[in-house]
Amino acid sequence: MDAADLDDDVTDAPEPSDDATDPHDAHDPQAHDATDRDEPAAPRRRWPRWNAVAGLVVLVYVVVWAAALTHISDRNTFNRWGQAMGSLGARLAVSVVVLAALFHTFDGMRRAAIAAKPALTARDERLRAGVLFLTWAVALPSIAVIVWPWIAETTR
Amino acid sequence: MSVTTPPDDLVDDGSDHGHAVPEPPSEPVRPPEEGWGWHLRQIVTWLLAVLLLVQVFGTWVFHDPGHFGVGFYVLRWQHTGWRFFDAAFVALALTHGGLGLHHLVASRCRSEGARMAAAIVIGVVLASIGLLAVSTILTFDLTP
Repeated sequence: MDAADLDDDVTDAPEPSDDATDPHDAHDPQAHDATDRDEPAAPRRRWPRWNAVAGLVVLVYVVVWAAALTHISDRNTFNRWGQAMGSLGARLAVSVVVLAALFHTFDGMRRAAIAAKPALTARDERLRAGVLFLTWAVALPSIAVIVWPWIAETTR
Repeated sequence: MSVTTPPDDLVDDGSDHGHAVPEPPSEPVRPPEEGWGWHLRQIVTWLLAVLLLVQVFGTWVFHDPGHFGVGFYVLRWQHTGWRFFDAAFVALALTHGGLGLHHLVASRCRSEGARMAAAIVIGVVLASIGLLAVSTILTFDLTP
């Protein structure tokens, strides 16, 4: 997935309900103009909510990991779960977590940087491209490292 | 999760991605009424940016997931610093994630009661898991 793919993914449909209370609208002069003149709102291209999706994936991971840790005293059970982590399915699931963690982190840093220094909004396009580049640049080798032992063992 | 910093939504939701470069907002992104809370969220965000990557990479990338087990944590928690690292990570990540999830759910709830119920359920579930995990991490006996 690259920036272009993400662009294709964004919805052009106006937000049905949330936008009425979306704090952004209070700061979006275009949105107000369109409403004030009773013109149909121009379709807005939106950065898809991948950050929320990634955050949800990471939250599920943290909850599962924390819940598993509470059973660490039962060593046999915990080790059985650990062995299951060697399967291909578990490795792919971990890969998704790594990808989500990277994207959520880098995009969160972009957001935090803009919140701290609003002038950076002017460079938002570049920052978003940088987020995608960094995410995939780190994620692809990491996923290879995670999955490779299973491939090596299976093809041996 | 993005939702911990309301100003992020202001920046993120409506930019003309792929078109003209958005102009800097005329108003400050940080609401003036948010004082220490805003700074606290910023600090937690940047802390978690480091903690999350260290935790995920240290557990799953630098070690083969197939060798995951009690032994991994026995070795890791021999250093007290790692115990505190993992405990801090669980606490901060669940707090951050809980706030984000609540924001996400609350934005889809129509009534104040539903919003309150969602906040209580999310808070109780995540706080219980977090407290159990933190106490396990800090008290786990390393001797076999």
